[in-house]
Amino acid sequence: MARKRPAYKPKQIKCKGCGAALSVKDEHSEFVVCEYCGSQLDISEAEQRVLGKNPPGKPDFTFEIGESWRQKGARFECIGRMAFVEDGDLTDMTLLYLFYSPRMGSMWIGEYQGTYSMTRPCHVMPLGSGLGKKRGETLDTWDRRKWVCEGSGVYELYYVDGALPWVAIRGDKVEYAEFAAEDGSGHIYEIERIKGEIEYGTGKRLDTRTVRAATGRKDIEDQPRPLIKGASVDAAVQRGWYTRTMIIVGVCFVFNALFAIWTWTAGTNVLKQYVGPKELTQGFFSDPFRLKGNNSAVRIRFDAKIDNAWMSVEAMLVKDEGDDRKLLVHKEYANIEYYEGVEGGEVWTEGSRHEAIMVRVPDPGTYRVFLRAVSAKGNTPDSERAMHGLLITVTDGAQPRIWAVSAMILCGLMLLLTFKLYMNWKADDD
Amino acid sequence: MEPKKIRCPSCGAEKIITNPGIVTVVCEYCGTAIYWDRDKVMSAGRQSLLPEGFTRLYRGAAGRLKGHSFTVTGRVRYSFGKGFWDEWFLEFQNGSLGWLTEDNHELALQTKKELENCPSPDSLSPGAIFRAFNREFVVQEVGQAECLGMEGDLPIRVETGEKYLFADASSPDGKYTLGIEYDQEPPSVFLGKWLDYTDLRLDDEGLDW
Repeated sequence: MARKRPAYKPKQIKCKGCGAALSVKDEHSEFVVCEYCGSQLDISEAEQRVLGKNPPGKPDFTFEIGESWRQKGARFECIGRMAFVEDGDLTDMTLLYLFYSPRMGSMWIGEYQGTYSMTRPCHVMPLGSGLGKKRGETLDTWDRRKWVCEGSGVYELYYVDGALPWVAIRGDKVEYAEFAAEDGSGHIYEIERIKGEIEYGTGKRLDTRTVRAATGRKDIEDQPRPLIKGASVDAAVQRGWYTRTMIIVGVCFVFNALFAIWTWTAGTNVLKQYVGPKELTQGFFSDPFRLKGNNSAVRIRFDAKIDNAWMSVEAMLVKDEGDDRKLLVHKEYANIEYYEGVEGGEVWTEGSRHEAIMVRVPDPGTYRVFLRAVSAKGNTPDSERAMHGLLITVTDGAQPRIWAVSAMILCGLMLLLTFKLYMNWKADDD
Repeated sequence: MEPKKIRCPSCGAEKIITNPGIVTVVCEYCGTAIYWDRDKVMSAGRQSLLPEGFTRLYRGAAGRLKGHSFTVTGRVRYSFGKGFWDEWFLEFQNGSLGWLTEDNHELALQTKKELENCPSPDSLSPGAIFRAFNREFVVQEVGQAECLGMEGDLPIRVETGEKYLFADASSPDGKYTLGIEYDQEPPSVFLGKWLDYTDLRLDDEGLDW
């Protein structure tokens, strides 16, 4: 037969330390810290025991004991707080708040460097051991979910107040491993070993808006801005983003490298001929060679035999139509200069002995290159004759190397930049 | 079955029992546990009073669990040494019975089952794995339970102070729970499912506090 709901009445106890009347709101509490004298009381058995006191100086908790949290139409109240440190670093605390509702049970709100999470106990177990996983390693759970380890280690309980469902003593060690859902949903999974018992918890990250709405606190500061605009601060998502970006840029880099190798080796050498200084001074028609036309690219490369000298080359590509009839197709100039020396014990060079020009040839046929050049040593400004010889190489079907090289340099820079961003993020995240 | 009318041997209060499965009644006026052997009503003495109002469930609560209407008719509280848990006895509208276990605000609906080759308590320790009902279970807790008190109408005979060994296990996927109570031979085995808070709806959810 249905019956009216009995009134909620918190349990009343008397502090063994100072005799103050204390109100225990969750009957599952086994441990209470007296709000008046700070005595830590073990109330798990009939006889109350005083275990000790907190250190002087309370951590900078955001939520006070008694503060409200509204969730799914129910009011939860903060009944317990804990502060954990790792490696004795008091400037880097993880804060945990126990919120309780007589109707809805309890939940844990975690706070770390301005970010918040909510967890409840669960019974889903990991496949294999989750404790001891390193940051970035993955974990599968029996409910077929995949997780990425965000961190693991050993927390030490530094401060505790309010009421808790287990006996917590300052200095207690908690071995932990925290995981974020690989799908970037913001869900989290936790494994903790406390005094030999392994417990599991699951929950989700909370954004500032949710925390403000649940507590009515407008003074909750915004979470740290994510490194990448639009990306989640969730470590798994960040790592995934960087990994994907580096893979994409890396693949582009490899394709560009292959493209550069192809452009470097593309084409057929149709002429390779040395021209002496005398011929260059007088003007000289190279041996004939055939080009396939159809606007294919032709590279004409000059290798001058110069040292601390300069050479000015006039090159004309002419179509040899027989019977001494020649049709000018292209007229180009190339300036080549190369200097070297030793200064302060160091060898230096300037300029290049090579120069190349690219032209497009519309018609197939037999062609020649008419060459004329002047050159001089040192800083001689003018010259009437060529003093050096020249090797001319004509490649039909060549590709402009500058495109591939430029793209490869760009990809390399992007790869470097992404890696640097990842390392910066990883250093901050650690 | 005809409704059974019983009278509390301690205070004389009358109680009508309609469910044939009920074998123990705690008098709501004087706290005396009453049970009967054939037609003889006997007293097991006054039982410890359990505090009310701390949880969502309460004796006499009506509601729906995964769509099935139920009424909470009784509760037994057990200690495991460093704390306690409650076993809420539910009568469903279709006549079936169930135990709703509430341990530190977690809920699981369990029903009694027969299990051949039940593992012995010596073979179980936290982390141990065994197979039952065609699935694996991982032992989470082994200990000694002590009855701290009871209220309402119950399908079992139990008295305050009774002790027995128990083992609690959970399936690794977090869905199923298995409780073994070594209170008799063969042991009592309860198979159930962990519940979400939203699985349970009460007619009187109560006002905010």
